[in-house]
Amino acid sequence: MERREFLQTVLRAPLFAPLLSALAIDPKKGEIYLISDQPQRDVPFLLGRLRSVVAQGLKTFSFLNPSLCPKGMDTALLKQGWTQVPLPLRADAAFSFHHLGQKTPPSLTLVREGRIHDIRSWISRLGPDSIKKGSPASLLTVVSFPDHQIPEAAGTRISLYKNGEKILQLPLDTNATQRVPTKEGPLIVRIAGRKARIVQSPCRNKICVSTPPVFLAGERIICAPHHFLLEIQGRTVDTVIG
Amino acid sequence: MAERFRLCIALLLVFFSSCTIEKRWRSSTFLYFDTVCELKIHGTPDQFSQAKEAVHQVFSEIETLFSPSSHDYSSPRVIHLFQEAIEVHTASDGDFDISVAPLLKLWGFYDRSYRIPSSQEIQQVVLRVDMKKIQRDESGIHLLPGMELDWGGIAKGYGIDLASQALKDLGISRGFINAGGDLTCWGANPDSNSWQVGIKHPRRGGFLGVLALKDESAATTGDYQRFFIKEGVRYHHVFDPHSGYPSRGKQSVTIIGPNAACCDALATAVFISSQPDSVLRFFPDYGAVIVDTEGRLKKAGKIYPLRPIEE
Repeated sequence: MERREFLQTVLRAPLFAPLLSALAIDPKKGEIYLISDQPQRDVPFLLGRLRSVVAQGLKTFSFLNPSLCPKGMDTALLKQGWTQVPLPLRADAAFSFHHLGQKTPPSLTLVREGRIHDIRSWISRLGPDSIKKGSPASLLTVVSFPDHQIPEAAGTRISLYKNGEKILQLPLDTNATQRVPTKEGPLIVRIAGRKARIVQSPCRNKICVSTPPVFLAGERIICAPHHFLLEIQGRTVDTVIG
Repeated sequence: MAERFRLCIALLLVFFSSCTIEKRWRSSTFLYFDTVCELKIHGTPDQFSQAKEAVHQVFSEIETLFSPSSHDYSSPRVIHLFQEAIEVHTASDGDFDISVAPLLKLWGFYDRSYRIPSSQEIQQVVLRVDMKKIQRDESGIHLLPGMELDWGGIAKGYGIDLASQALKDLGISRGFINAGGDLTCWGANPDSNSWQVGIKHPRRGGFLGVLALKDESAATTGDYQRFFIKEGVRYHHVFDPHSGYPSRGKQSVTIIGPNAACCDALATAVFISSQPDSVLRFFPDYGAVIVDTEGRLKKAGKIYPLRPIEE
């Protein structure tokens, strides 16, 4: 057999397809941050579009704070074929809702493996009108695809990441204020009463500053423009009974 | 030269092919027994496919065989599980009783009408509740007229035992199956430690504590799982078969031990019984974590470490 023919035969071998698939990044590690006043319209639409990247094979959802859930959110997801499950049984996708206290431009951010990706431009060709037209909104919806870890309730420490690299770690049981310099000005993290928040940020819209304090293991605050991610860490459990 | 080149390619193929069939953690959720079931195993893609198929097969069979509308009392599985149920019934002085279906029906738990019956109605129905009245022979079990069975306190655990054995037979040495809170786990967890299992707190969010299990099962019965409230009083689904009323005295009971069906049944038995230690005396490999009506935590039987949660 000629070398060229041999190579062509090898490259067509079925083994390479699963190899390439195995090298792909696990699409289920991540979170979507959406600023929109109509998440019941936008989230199902986006998940449908992103299905091949982040939502493939996922079937169940739950609401972490159902009292803030916009009306019709559950119906919209059920129509798309999702099944709602109660907490604390782990759902494939966990939704939480946060009022920012101010109107900010809509945004769509994907946080995956510690890295922050602004995907507005990517989705703008297909995205819902609220993202395209740029209507200011004050509701932040976080869609988490938890990596099979369930928090034990209160966290034990915070970690701050910049571009996916950990730059700071502090215990949650000690009040502290930490200043992180950036070219545009400092990012200041404060721990008080076993909760952490960002009190000052160089970003324009200060969404991270508006995010309520976090304290449960797995909770996060992100500053998308500057690629900061603050995460509460702690012990987790493998599964839950009761 | 050409031969050496082909040999390199062949070696690369072997290397990459072994990478694609590596064992790693894989999980799946599905719906059976009116609840969410979770499967997590450490295995190859083939093992995972076979595992899902095996669990679906077992759960489907158990769900059909032990549903309230099924009256197949001659199946070997039914006879086997009835025998296990009788052992717990006897050990608990009759507190665990799978013939409580008429009570559940009377109080509206089946059709969700949720009503408080009169004492006369309850007394009439209680006459039809007593597992000891059920006859057994080689052909099966035979109920007296008016008797009905509710396998809810033991069938799910039985399904988990059968499913986990099927997975071990497939060579899967690490994993867990959680069917709506009834659990069995084996081998080490992804951190190569015992499985960290949170027990839901019966009244507030979060956990009561965390168990560390290696090759064990666990099940919880609680007054918060199925209940209705009328005039400020909670009426839950765990009936005292002697009185015909929901049992009182505890918020939740978690049983840990080697067999999921037994954990399932004992969780109900110990929940109802006023003497948990007496019940567990017959099952020395099983232990209980009990939360009483005041929210106080205590243990009975074999001691399994429970790490408390700091709030």
